[in-house]
Amino acid sequence: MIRTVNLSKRLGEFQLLEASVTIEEGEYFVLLGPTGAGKTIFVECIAGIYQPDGGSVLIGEENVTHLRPEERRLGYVPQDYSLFPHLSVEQNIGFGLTVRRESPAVIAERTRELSDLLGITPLLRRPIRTLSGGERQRVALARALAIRPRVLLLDEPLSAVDEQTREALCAELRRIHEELRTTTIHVSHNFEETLAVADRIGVIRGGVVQQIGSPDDIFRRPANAFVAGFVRADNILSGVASPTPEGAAVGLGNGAVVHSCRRLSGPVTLVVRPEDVEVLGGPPGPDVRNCFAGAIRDTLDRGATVKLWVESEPAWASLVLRPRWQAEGLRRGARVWLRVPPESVHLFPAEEANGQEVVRDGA
Amino acid sequence: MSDQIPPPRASSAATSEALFRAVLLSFLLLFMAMVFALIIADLRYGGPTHWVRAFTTDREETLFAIRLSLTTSVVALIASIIVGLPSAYVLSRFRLPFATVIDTVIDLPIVVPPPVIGLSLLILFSRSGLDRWLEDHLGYGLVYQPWGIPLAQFMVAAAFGTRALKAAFDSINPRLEHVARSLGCSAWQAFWRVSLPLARNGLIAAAIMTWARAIAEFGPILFFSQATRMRTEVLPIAMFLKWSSGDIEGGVVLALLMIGIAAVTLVTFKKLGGKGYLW
Repeated sequence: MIRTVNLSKRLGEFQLLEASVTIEEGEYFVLLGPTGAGKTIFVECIAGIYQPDGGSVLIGEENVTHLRPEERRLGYVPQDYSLFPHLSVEQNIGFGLTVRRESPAVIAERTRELSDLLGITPLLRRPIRTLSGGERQRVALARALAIRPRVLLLDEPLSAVDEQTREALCAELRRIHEELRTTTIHVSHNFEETLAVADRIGVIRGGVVQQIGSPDDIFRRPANAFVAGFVRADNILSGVASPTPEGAAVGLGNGAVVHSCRRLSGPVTLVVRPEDVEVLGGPPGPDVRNCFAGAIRDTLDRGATVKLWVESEPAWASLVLRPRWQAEGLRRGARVWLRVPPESVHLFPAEEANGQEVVRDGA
Repeated sequence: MSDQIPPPRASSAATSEALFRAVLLSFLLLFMAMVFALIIADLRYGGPTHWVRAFTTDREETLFAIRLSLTTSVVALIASIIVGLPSAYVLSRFRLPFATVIDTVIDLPIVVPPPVIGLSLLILFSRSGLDRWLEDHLGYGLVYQPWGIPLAQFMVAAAFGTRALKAAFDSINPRLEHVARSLGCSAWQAFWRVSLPLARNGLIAAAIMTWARAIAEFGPILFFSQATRMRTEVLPIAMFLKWSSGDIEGGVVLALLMIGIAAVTLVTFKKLGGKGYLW
């Protein structure tokens, strides 16, 4: 287990503010946030590259806050991989073991093990400058894993590879994690990548941890408008909730009402993921709730899916699969009926300006 | 639309662009011509007879000057590296308070007219009794002595060296050291195993430049060690002595020798990927 308690650090324009995060043994944790959110500082403080201004880092029950990087035994893969260009692939992987004065037999054995696991055995004799982005990433991973780290730290490990490689490497990271079960902290600004690998996710913004939870929590039950926007829950509305037997009815101020299964009252923010907004085949039955009619204002073809913006009251964004979009002629200007299932309508209390509350594990 | 590609439209901006390039280029060529003019003038003036004389009649003196230049400059180089390497690393990596002040102090010997350094050395050693102390305790003083030459060279060369070495370390991403530390290296090991080998070419280039600076030193030596024949006679001093005794041709031979050394040094420096600037 690794734990940070009120970890704070200011470094030029970047900062980390009282970050308290607990990562369980064997867990794959992703810290998700936009550029400049303080993700890299978080990793670097854990790695011991920077001393925090305040707070602690604990690995198990050991307080490592004041230990030098070499005393922590953490595997660190920085964003640019930072492979040693004066050494071969093999020497890079064995570097940590060489420094730790392991015997050549142990080094060779471990190198072979890891290069087999990562599929880089044919590269062992190659100089670093001849490697592709994906290959570099694997070598950096092998180098970090060779010291059998207590925790693996991955700083934006997939930001330097192209889209196709990224997908393959996500699956790879997950497979390696399942094999080795090394506790992992992975920093990312890409929420698709995050969903593909994470057991649990923390969302950070401006150095402040916004929400920690399962991918489902972050994705479907964002704690605030920032998280909702960041995970592209396109429908974010404000209103006033009043209790109903099933949950709450949220008045949006212009007469429109949206029903939710959440029990909440008072000023709220309402969040619905676009894929949860159903496009109906025709007019709904008489007592179906949360149905809205309107014309399609815009469409965005994203290949496998198409996003529709419908000018109903309120306006909704909806995501449909491409075959259906083509079959039903859901073009701009077409009139459609939408249904928003009350169980997909997430509510949280309206935030005061800049009032940010950290919500943990779906609480 | 026909399949035929129309002929390319004539550009009206082409003449203006050509003029722009020609004007700018001519200034560059002018300056190059001036440098070449100097070298050619020297070459025409110092004919073969003077070369022969430099290595027959004046053989002893010429060889003395070459030998003294080589030994003193190498001593100055070694001292500059010993002091400059750690200094450069500190300047490149540590966040220091008063960084601007430190930077200015390091650069001062580069910007100050070299004779000022010579005179200042002279004052420091002779007036403070430091030279007397050295003579009493070690048997060797430095003022007006050949063993003072490396010190005079060092004062300027070390500043150049530190700048050039810093450029070498600046080109190495500190993150490589961070990774090395995470893999178990102490700060010392990260320096020896990662930064130093990676900076190798830059360091060699810096060393060559530092040496070139040391062997070229004249002003500080003139003041601190004086121009004494067959005693403090390094190459620039030898040239000065020839000139002041009216043997301009003999001086030109030495001048050409030094131009040759400088050219070879520069080519090597650039080959090794040394930065195009020195500080």
